[in-house]
Amino acid sequence: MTGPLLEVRGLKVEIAVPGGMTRPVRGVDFSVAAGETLAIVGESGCGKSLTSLAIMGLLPRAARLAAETIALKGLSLIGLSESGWRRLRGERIAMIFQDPMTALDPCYRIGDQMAEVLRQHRPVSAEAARQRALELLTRVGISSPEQRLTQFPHQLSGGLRQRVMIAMALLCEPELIIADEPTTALDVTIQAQILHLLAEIQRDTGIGLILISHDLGVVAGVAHRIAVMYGGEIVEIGERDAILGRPLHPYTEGLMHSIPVPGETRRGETLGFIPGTVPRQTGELTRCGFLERCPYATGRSAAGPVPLREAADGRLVRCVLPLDGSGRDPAAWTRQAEGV
Amino acid sequence: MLRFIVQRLLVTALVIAVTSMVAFSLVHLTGDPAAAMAGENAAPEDVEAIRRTYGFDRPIWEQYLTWVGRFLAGDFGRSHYLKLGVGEVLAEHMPVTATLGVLALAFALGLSIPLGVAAALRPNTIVDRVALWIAVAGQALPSFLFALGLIYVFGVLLRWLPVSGDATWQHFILPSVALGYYATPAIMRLTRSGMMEALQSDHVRTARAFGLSRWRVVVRHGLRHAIIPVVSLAAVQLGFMLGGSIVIETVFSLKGLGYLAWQSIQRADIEVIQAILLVIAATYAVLTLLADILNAALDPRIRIG
Ligand SMILES: Nc1ncnc2c1ncn2[C@@H]1O[C@H](COP(=O)(O)OP(=O)(O)OP(=O)(O)O)[C@@H](O)[C@H]1O
Ligand SMILES: [Mg+2]
Repeated sequence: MTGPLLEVRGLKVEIAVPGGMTRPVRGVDFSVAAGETLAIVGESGCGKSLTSLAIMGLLPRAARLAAETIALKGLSLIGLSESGWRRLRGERIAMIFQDPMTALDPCYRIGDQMAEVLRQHRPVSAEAARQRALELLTRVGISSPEQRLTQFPHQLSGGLRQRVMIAMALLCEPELIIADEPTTALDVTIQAQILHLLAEIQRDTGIGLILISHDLGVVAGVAHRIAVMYGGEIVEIGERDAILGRPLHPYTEGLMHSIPVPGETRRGETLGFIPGTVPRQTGELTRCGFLERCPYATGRSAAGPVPLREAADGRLVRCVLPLDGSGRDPAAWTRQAEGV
Repeated sequence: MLRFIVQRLLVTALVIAVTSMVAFSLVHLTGDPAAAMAGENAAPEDVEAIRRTYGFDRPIWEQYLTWVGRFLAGDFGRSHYLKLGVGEVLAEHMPVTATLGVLALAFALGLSIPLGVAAALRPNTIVDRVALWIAVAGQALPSFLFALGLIYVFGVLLRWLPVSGDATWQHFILPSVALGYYATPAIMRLTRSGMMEALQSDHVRTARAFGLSRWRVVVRHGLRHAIIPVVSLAAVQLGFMLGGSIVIETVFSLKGLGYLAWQSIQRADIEVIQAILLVIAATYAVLTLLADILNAALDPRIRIG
């Protein structure tokens, strides 16, 4: 395999808002290889969804996109025509959304919605589309699929609907699946099942998978590589084991301290450990974006914008601290949380 | 679904019963029907005789029950002026108004839904403003002036369409436009806001994310949702049109229910007036019922609880 499946370089998203311009995504670089799961992790508002929508060409109308490269197997997606996008979406790149309760159209039966997608892309008969839908509903572990085909979304539970979404994503055998918080809206036990299913499908089909979550704990088990986003930038990206073994960016470290314990952290609860919230900055960054919340911040953090640097194990880190892991004292987190 | 329909049928029957009572009381309490029927120069004995013949001297609830009983038995009464059965009189005039109402509604929907969709697809642009302008321009005019304008342009200047009478379908075009146009702003606005909301919804984003064609996204996944509240509004608007057709029927010399009501009031033709009121009330109620059923058919969440 030559070159990555998906390559993203210098992705920026700007949105005009009353009284100026926000920059929710400030120059993001990453790539995904076939057969690889890349997890994008970061707390609410750091630009994960906008990044994925930009790849799908589905940014809101108010948003402006700038990028050096967004390419799928060498095909540039920048400035693609509407019909070009239609041949790509659902066919080569499929997307799974956060809220399965609203992502399916309440007016149509499951089978009809699946057949509509398949027949948009393939010249198959209604019967063949039905068979394919049945096959995939079975594949994603839905029991009595014949009956589900004739049901409406509101007759299914959240977990089942998310399975339907996954089945729908698989209809045209895409090369890349982007799952944006696919388990956030589900109960903890269902979350694990859905993640397991996604990982298994990824393994069996050898597709590329981008798994987005605000919860490092959720994706830790299934990701091959992890990209940590903060304030519209990637602050650390590398192999899963390397990052989980020893995080080098203070924000990643903070995220790891705040991995929720199943059963003790309720859905919708924000991560308690890292104090403060993502500051909204409108202009270009002139210093480290994490400065205000960082217990290790030094004078050099404020000296200028911080570039990504490569550590010895090949990962990239956006921090001024030494990349051998020295200069960090985890107790600083506790002191900061207690306001000392 | 069956339970739903039975429930709504009961409500509809109740609405008709209540409105018929109100209509009946209004006709009988706003004047002396016997005096009105007898005419201005009648002798007091004659008025008294009429009062007794028609039973106006009995308590009003007794008169009402008698009337309802006759109605349910299929006896709609007689027009004392036309010397015809009320059923025959209604059968002659109702089709004209029904045709007018249905065509007017078709025109209103055919104009305002595409305008609403176009506006929602390009909000706050020139398309949006032009669509709104088409829907509301001329709304400030009283309907008879607008109707006269239509007559002048299409009947007199261009000579494209007949302007008076109800002999052919062409006769119904201008009256339907004149009547239906007044329903366009409300329907257009509701379509526009419904479409804007539908296009923002998650399932439309899903449809786009799966590469569905623009037509499918807009119509099957957008308009399908936006149209649900429009159905209820259209039913109400059709009711208004039937009620408001009296002006249009007069301007275009259509002999419909509005025309009949107007004539009957002048003639104090009580049996006919009561029957018209009942027909209009029943039509309102039945239209609402139909709208509810159509809504349920369009939205599986109502249909399959
Ligand atoms: N249409 C919009 N108009 C203005 N600002 C927007 C718009 N969409 C997103 N933003 C802003 O962009 C930032 C990033 O949004 P995004 O949805 O990508 O975050 P996220 O990382 O996916 O968060 P979440 O975990 O809440 O989904 C947020 O601060 C949000 O307020
Ligand atoms: Mg998001």
